[in-house]
Amino acid sequence: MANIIGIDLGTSTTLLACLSNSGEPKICNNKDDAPLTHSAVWFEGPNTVIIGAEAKKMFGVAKEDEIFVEYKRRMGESNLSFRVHGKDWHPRDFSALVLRQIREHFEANNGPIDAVIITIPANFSDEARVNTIRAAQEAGFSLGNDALVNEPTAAAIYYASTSPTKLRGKYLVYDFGGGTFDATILDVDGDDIKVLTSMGVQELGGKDLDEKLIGLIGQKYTLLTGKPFSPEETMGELQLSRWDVEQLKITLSTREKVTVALKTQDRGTLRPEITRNEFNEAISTLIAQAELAVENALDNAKLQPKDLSGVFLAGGSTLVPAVAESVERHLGIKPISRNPVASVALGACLYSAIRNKTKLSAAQTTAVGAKKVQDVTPHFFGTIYRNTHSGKLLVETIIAKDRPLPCSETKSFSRGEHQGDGVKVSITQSGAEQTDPDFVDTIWSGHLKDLPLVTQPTEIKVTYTYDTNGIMQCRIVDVLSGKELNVQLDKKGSIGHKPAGSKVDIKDYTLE
Amino acid sequence: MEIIIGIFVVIGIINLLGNMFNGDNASSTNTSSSAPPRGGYEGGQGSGGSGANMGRFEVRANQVMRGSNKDVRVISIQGRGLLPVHRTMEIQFVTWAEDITDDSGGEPVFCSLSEFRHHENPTFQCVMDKGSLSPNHGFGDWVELGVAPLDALAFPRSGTRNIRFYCYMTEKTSPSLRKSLLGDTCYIRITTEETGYKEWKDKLVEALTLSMRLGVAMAHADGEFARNEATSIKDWLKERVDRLDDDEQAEAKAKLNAALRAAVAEAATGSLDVSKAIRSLRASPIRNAAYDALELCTIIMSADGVISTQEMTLLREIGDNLGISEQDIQGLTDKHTPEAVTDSGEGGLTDELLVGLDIKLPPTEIKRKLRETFARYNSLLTTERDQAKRLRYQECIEAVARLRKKYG
Repeated sequence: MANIIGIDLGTSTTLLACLSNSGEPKICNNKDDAPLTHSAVWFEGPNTVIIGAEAKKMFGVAKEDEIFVEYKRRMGESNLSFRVHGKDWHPRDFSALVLRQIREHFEANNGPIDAVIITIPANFSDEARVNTIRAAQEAGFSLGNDALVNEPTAAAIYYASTSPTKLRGKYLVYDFGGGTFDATILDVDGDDIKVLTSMGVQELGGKDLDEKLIGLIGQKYTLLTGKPFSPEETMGELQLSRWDVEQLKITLSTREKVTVALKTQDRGTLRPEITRNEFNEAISTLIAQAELAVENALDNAKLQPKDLSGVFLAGGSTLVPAVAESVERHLGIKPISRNPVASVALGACLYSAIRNKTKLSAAQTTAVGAKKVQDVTPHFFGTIYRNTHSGKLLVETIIAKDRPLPCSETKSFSRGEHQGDGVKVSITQSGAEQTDPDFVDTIWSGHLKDLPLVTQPTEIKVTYTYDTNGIMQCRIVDVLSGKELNVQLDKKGSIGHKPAGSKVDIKDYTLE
Repeated sequence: MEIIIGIFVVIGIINLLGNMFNGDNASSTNTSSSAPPRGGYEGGQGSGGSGANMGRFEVRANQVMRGSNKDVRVISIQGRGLLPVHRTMEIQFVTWAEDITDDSGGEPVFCSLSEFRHHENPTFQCVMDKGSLSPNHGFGDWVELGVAPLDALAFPRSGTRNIRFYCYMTEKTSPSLRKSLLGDTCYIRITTEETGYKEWKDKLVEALTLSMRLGVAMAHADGEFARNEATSIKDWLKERVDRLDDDEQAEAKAKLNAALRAAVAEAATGSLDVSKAIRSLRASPIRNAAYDALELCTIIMSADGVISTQEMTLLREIGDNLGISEQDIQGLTDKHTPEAVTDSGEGGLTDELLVGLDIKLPPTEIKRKLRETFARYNSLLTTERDQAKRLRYQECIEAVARLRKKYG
């Protein structure tokens, strides 16, 4: 039997799901025999790396520059590095350490992995996607062309597969994870799942709920002692770790109030109470962000809440009562919560099976069925040109966000006599349609060279093609000479050949 | 090497050219040299008569209306006569212009369309392919050899202008190798209301003065004209004055320095008239003068590292009164203020001002505006790498969330 797996590489926790003999996805425990592996890395010494819960518990206790959590949020910053014991580390390296550990444990018990899909937030930048792929490669995974799936899409597959009745209609996946939030709207017709749009919030997750709880604890501490509270310094003095705070948050999900033990040096142990109402009030602006993102997604899909046939919850933060309650209050629909912590990993495993049907056994093939998933482009992709009237550099969208995959678009530009024998080409991405180069990310730039000199404007055709594997081909053709430039921005690293920090430098384009 | 230029604008120009060249007596401007020219050559020994009969080469200029709606003002340069060459060759006609109204030696005529410019500078030049020419051939009748899009031309001054066109024939080659094989001049008198580029320099200094006055007002908004605010004004002005010709810089600097001293003195006594400066800037013929002025104000607002309520309020008032769109105002603050912190102290910058929410809007509009603002900053945060900008965008997202809670 082939080992078909899906991995939810989360901001706070990582889960691995594998396809059973009967074709059902199931969560596989880690080396500590726990389903969740905390996405935390602690460099205890130059040659000692501790991964998982033990590392997470030391966050806020161990040296700040030796312990790393929530690094997923910075996955898209390729130039970032952290120096630990004389070696430079990027967030992808931390992810690779976590992935390697869970891979090695799984393979030791089950044999080699035959197919793997890793989940990412729907609005992850291209660079963050590439770094996730690299992390998996560093961890020793052998990846197919389609190695990634968006977290809410994976959750939707899980919900569609486990629904007691065939789903039909428009559904919202409300994915409030450890570090990111995604609102994704899908059109489901039985086994056909079509993503219509995704709206993600990069810095909204369980981590932010924890921060609000820390703020509340700080207020109580100041009230009792009259002293200022600084999370970085005071928490260490009070022997209160981030892990403790997370446990308090979990407890508040089932109790109306919790008591916090704050071990002060001069006043003994203080025990302030924090009520669920206080916590709810503190996180209300975070929930407001989720509501706004949902409304943006509905706007993008040109839908009203009444058009939705259902709402599915995914991500551990949806276990916070105020979060689930807000969904019902906001949309007027009681959300369905089925295994929200594991739904993304389980869905990723099913997606892995859908994409690797030739590797499945007969029983697995029957169980997976004829499911089809159609995703959409995650961003706006464009190019930079100079407006001949104003002389200004502008961005022209070639492929818009939320286009069903695969898709291809061509737009014509021109070059004139004054442009000599070449044109500069930039490929940009942005979360919303932008015309100002200052507000887009240039993910590739290069030149179409050695073109014939012209005395009249001639046509340049720019074609972007985005396939179902998340690979974008860009073809730039000088129609007069037939010369062309082909660029492939795939998820396996060719995008990484672009120069570091290639944000548009306007100086490059100014007249001398 | 240059960047790709714009699709819509340029394709529009190509269409426009097509319309232009479809006029009477016009020749095709097909870039393919093999295309036969309409109104083509006549053989000297053939139906058109001998070269001697055809007459010497001459050109003329007419102002005509072109385009599908006949609303595009064009000067058509036409030629006729014998084109003496000793072998068959691919030829082009190159047309350029001088303004001889004030100076018989001629002053340059510039063009805003790159397709009608010299390959090395922005002066007007039209290059038109005319296909293959054999010895002892020419144009028996008037044929269009060049066009000048009148509304895209820039003359030294406004009013009635005397323009001299020079049109010459050359073998088709790269721009740097062109040689005149024969040519002729013609004259036309045109009237333009557009501010001339020589006048423009005066208008530019005037616009800079007005922008600077707004900048000084902005610097005083928090009650203090800080050193870094003054430096910002100076740097901004210097950058623009440096673009003037050397002989014009001294005069401009003197004017601007005097105006700066006056503005600072007026601001100190509360007599600096912002409204008047705004009115004048709105009427300025300088393109983007109002936007540039607001950009200076935005730079000054964040120059001391702190943005106060007074400063942001004044910036939005100035922007509104200058006719700058709300989106552009927000775009300028996003561009120039990420390094500055918002003043959260008493009377500090409110969430409404930070994200530009007009609380006088009806509740449904406030909700819509907040959704749009959230989408804007959320999308910017997705792809922005600069840490200062990321923090500012995150700050704006959190402000929108608080406002959502506040206004429902």
